[in-house]
Amino acid sequence: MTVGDRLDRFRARFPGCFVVAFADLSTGMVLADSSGAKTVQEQLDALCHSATDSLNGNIAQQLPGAGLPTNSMPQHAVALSGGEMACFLRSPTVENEALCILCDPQMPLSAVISEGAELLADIGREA
Amino acid sequence: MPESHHEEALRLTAVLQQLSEVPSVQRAGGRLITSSGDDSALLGILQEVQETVLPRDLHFCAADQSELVLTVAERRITRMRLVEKGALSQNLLKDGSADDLAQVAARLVAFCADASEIWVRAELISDHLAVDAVGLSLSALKSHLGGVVGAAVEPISLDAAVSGSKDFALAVLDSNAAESDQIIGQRDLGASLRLLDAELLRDGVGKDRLSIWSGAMPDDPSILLAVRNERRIWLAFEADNLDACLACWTEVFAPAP
Repeated sequence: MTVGDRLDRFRARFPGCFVVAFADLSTGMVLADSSGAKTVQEQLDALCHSATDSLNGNIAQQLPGAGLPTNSMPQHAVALSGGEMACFLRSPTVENEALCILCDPQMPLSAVISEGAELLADIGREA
Repeated sequence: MPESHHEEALRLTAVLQQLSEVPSVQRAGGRLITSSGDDSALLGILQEVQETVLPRDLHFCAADQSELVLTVAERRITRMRLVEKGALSQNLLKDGSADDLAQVAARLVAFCADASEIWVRAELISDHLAVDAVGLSLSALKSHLGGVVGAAVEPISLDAAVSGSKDFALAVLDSNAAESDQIIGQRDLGASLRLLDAELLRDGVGKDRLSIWSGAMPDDPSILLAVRNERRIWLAFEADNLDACLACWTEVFAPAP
């Protein structure tokens, strides 16, 4: 099964997810995506940029050093602005790979995060 | 019969009559949410759903004894029951499908059209089947109802969201509060939030937004940042409470109708 097939299956599982993209945060490139409507490259680039900012940006880098009981960079992040919610999941196996999801703000996100982490692990195992 | 015995008999008859009456919904401990029977009935019901985060059965009772029970968890309707003329109909809203949405919207509109007065009472529940169902989101319901009545539901303010977060927040930092009152909850976590806020101020606060970060370990606290008009709210909470936290905060940042 290709990465694209896996993303399609994930989006079918969660109809509230409009766009699901697999991205390389180090290069800022979307490697595969699945979306209901036609999504232009600029939108995917913006989503990937937002993922990099959320997972590797300045605040994210401060989290392990801010005296919080956490020693790692954030594993997932949520960004809500202008009525649009994005969820970013870092791969548990390759830290610069991530899943970027645009979804309905009312979605039960913990289920999306849990299954998204499994999807990333599957992709990592097959790489 | 002596006069005193007659009075006693009358009093006893009155007591027996009271005991034989079925308590009406008006006396069932409910709170009146509308007495006009127009769109305000629907708005009142949507407002109650919007204000419900922990799993509850919301019992909406009309004067004609019909009763609509919505099971609500984190502002999602997961089950609907309607008791009308002694008959019960029930829907478990497992997957939030378009059919569920149309059915719930139609039932709500019909219930409100027939009701001149509606009372509500809320009961905490632990019915896992109902709580775990995906259910219908309030935003989907509002848009299905045409945005006319839905748009009038009052948006949630930052202060209301902070107040609603107190059930699960470990620490809160509010930049608007006086210096000595800025941190609520665990002081060490609050101090960490202050460090993050200082970093944000160095970078520039930026646009209104909601951001959440969660670590790799289940015990790592998640961190929320809400920015509105330069006011910053930082909140530390357990990762298990992510859905409850989002239920509190997403409506604050819902787009204007």
